[in-house]
Parts: sequence; structure tokens; C-alpha cells
Amino acid sequence: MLNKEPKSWQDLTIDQFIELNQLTSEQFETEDEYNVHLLSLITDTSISIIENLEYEKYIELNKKFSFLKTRPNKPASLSIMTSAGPLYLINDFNQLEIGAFIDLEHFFTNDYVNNLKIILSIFYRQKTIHNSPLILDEFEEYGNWIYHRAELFNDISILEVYNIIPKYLKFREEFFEKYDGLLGGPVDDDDDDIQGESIIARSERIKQKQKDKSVQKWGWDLFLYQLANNDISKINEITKVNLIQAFNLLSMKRELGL
Amino acid sequence: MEKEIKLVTDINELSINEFEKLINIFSKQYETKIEEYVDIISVISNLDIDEIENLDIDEFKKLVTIANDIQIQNLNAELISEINIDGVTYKTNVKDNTYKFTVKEITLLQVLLVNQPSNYLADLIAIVFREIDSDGNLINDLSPEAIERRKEKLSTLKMKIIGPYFMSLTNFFLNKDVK
Repeated sequence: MLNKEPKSWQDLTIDQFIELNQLTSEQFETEDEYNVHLLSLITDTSISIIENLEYEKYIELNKKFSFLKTRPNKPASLSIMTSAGPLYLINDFNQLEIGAFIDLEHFFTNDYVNNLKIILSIFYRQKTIHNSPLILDEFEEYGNWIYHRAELFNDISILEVYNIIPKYLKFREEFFEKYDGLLGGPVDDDDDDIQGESIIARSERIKQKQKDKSVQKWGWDLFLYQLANNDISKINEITKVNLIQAFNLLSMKRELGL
Repeated sequence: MEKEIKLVTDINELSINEFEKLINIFSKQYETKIEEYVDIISVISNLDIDEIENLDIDEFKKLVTIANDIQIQNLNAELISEINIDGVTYKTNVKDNTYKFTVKEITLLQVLLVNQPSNYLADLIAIVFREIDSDGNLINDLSPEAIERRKEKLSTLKMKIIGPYFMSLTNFFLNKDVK
């Protein structure tokens, strides 16, 4: 009767997971209507077949698929097999390049579920395996293939990769705490006088505020431009620098006024 | 000449419209019992409110006694699963004298109960009773047009046929809420 009966998140693909997240109960008049669409999606069965089920059978199915109310929970696989061959997880996010980090910022802050496959193509890379105790295995450099590779993740089980998301979000939060202030704090439009502030101090404060606003406006472009010693031709090269090195370098330049 | 009073004395003989009016009366708060009976009698008889209010008190009391026998628990319990109207056969999915609603039927009925809680019986009957195909199987057409088409044909049915489906639906939602 149903084309598929997934038993856990293991049996659902990344594509299905993205589609599931695009469905919200607000789009439907009743909770049942919403559940019918969910069931249709995960069982790969037409909506009309689900709708013609006896209600009691439908309730049984909902119980069977109650795992949908949880989130996939298993450490992300260190390697996955795609139609183009194996890809390996950069599990230590400190190894990411500044270019990859900036792109991740964009995709995470603009709906990470819809961007999930692109995000995964940043984390999962090809790897040169030397099989030598003397030489480290090497991940390929970050490149311009993220959109191109996204489709390789369509049919991968969501359970294999999902946990990268909470893990990375935690990393990101701690990272920004560590480098707090480097990218400019929040801009407030409060220009009130501070009691006892001299005219020179006030002028300096307003200038700094204007500078901070500019920093926010130009954000990562300015960050890369400064890292590239204001040489636009070197920006591409700079995006390949390790994330930690890039932030440390910029901290140093800012502190020393270089 | 005095008007002859015609009364429906069995709840199963009420039409959808009359039954829904009664349900509304039962759920309404009246200041006096007399007002409530006047409304009930106006539904089950051929008298209008003015005529009832002008009745002799003994005549009115007789009608109240009859009205008291009109009770929801007297609704027919036996599910009639096949009817014929104007040469067209309509059937329902009754199994072992119980009606099992499908997901689609419940979805439609849930919306109806929210949007028109006091007049959904014509829709209910047009949802559960459907035409049959050439193999004698119930068709699945629950489109708004099909429901509307069937409502026109089936809205004259009496509560004898509609009642058991109304009770099945009531029981369904009672059990659903309990679970």
C-alpha cells in the first residue's frame, strides 16, 4: 500500500529532510492535512492514497513514524559514498579556510536547512590518502564547486550528516565569542551625550561609531581586503588561508595598527 | 376555520434543516422553558411562532408532551449503507454496522466543523454517501463540486438515514479527543 515505510531517520534522504522542513503546519487548515503531506513525503506515496486510508490506520502510521518529532541524532559520518566517489568530513572545523568559513556564514544565516546540501559540500571534501606514517592525509583546497557538488548529497541518509549542523553552530558561537569585536560590534543609533564627556572624546566616539557602521556594511569584504594588505588581486589567495590564522593575523594587524 | 396541526413525533422523520434547528435550540440558553418549547414546537409542527403563542394553554401543554419525546437518543442507530434517489445508487463504506471514516473525510469534516459548526449535516451526508462506478465500487470523488452536487440530491433525506452517521461522527470526535 505504501511505497516505503522508513523506520528511522536512517531511511530518509537529505532531499526528503529538506522537503519535510519546508512543510509547516501553518500552511494547512488542519493538523491532519499537514500530517497527510508529511506521510506522503516520507513514504513516497501519493496524497490521495493516504487520504483514502481509514483514519485508524492513519493514526497507527503516525505512531510508527513518531521519530519525525525528534531530530536525527548520531555523530556525522567521517566519510560518505557519493555517485562521484567518497568524500571525507573536515571534522575539525579549525582546519577550515577563511573562504569556506565566510561562505558557511552566508549559508547558515540564510536558512541552513534549505542550504544544507551546499553546506555539506563545504564540509565533505576529497582527500589524498598517503597511507604513510610520515605524511599526513590531505584534504583538497576549498574551491568553487560547492553548488556543482550539492546534488551529490541528494540521496545520502540524513542521519549520516545531520549532526554537523548543531556541532558547527556550537563551534561558530564559541568562535565568535573568542574573536568578539574583531568584526565590529552591533551598531546602535543612540547619539545621546554622555555626561561629562569632552567635546574631543565625543567627536572621537562618533567617528568610531561611523567607522563601525562602515565595517558592518562591508563586513567580510573589508575583512578579506585588510588581510590581503589592501591588495585586491590577492583576495582569492587569502580565502584559502586557514581560518584561525586569518583571524589571528587580522587581530594582530588591528592591535598593532598595521 | 381552525388550522389542523401537523406534528413530527419521531426525531428520525425530521429533515436535516429541522434537526439542525433543534440542535441549535438545545444548545441555546433560554430565559424561560416556555420560550424554548415555543421554538421546539415551531420546528416540529406546521405552526409559526405567532400561532404557537396564541394557542390555548391546554393545547400548548399537549404539544409540549409530544415535544418531550423528540430526543436525540431516539435517533435510529442502524446504518443504512445504500440508497437510491432518482435512479442513482449512493453507497457508504459501512463494515459490520460501523462506519470507519477515512483521513480525507475527517479532514473535510474538521474544516466544516470549524467554519459552519451548526449546519454541516448536508455536507456530512454528501461526503459519506457517494455514487458507485461500473464495478459497483464507491467513487472517491470528494471535490467541492462533487460534494455540492450530491448535497443537492441528498439534502431531502430524513434523520433516519443521516442520524447514524451523525452519531458515528460525534463518537469519532469524542474518542479522538479522549485519546
